[in-house]
Amino acid sequence: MADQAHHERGAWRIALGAGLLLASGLLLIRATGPWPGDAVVWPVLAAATGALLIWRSPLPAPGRRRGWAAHRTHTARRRARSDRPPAAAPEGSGARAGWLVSLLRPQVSRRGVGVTLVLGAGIAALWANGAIRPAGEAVLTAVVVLVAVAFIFAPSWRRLARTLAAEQAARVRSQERADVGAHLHDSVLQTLALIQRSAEDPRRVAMLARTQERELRAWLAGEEQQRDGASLVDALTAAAAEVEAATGGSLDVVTVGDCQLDERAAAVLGAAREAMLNAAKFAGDAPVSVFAELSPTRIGVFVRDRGPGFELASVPAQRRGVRESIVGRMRRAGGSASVRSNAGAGTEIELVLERPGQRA
Amino acid sequence: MTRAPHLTSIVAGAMLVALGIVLVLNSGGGIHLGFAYAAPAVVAALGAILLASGLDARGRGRP
Repeated sequence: MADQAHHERGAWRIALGAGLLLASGLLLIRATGPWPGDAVVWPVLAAATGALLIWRSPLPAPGRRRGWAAHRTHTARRRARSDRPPAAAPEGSGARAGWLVSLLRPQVSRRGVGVTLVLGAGIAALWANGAIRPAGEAVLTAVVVLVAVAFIFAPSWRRLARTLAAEQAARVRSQERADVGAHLHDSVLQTLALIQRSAEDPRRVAMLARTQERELRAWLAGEEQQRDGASLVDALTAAAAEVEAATGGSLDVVTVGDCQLDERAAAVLGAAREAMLNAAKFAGDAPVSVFAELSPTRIGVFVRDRGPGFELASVPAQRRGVRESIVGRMRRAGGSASVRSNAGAGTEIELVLERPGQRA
Repeated sequence: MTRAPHLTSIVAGAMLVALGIVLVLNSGGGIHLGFAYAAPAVVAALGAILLASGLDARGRGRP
């Protein structure tokens, strides 16, 4: 990251330095040698620089946010990941200055600078050659009015942008906290509950602790993030096998179709795993049925058990299993989860995620 | 352990020395330095310093 920042800063300085040397050479020729005229050379130079910037600007990835939007998202994520809120600025003057600079300086779009240079060069060339002089007064009036309006409303726009960024940071922070909470519930808390149930079997307790330790270490190392592109069916089957190994229950998994395991599909997988774990824990000896209907545009997973069932409304507020790890997780991923359960009649959990934007 | 030379400082120093010599010659009457020649010299000095600084930053960013 630091290397990339050094490289980026270095590239800008090299470009600016080369531009200044070129401008110096042109100024020298202007003073001594044959000169085609200011109205020709400077607009051509500005247009050439703009064109170079446009050609050299990287093409944005599909679906990636650009310009101010990208800056706001980046800033929001950076602030959300920081332990310090923006209001509680760092104590050191250097750190404070760095924070202020990052706030004041948007992510400069190379393409935007290039387009501005080309347009400015075109207008300057037309102006210098008298082509738009008849409309000059009207254009000048419009520019003056626009600049005045910009000066008047700039503080409001700035406040609005900062409010939006703060709201976005709070939303990102809240979502990340919910994701971490859901993961800790699914892994550590569930394993602790299983350990309590298996307290009379030391070998099983040790196995559960070892498995949990491995999983937690992998999660802390970010290894779970590298599974993009894997098959959701494989991941679902593996999750069912893990649940069987952890609880000693029996799960029948039936799948139709398949899709890639991207970030949203991983949320469905997490919710399904939690539903399977709950079902296996409470269903007793009866098998748990898992049916998954998967396609690139729609993911549907049903988990049924013949256990004692429960009333969702009667679950204490501090128990987060169904509310956060299943319903909340699906909602954050843009999907839905419905729980159908009656005392004594078993439980069915339906997870649905529509993905109309995905290619079939 | 020998310290690597700081390219930006060397180029900036050389540019300042060159500009100083030119200004001394101008005040001594050796050359006549008008704006048409002073401006390109200053711009070239700034450009050379920026170029050196950029190359230096790139070199330091390399592992």
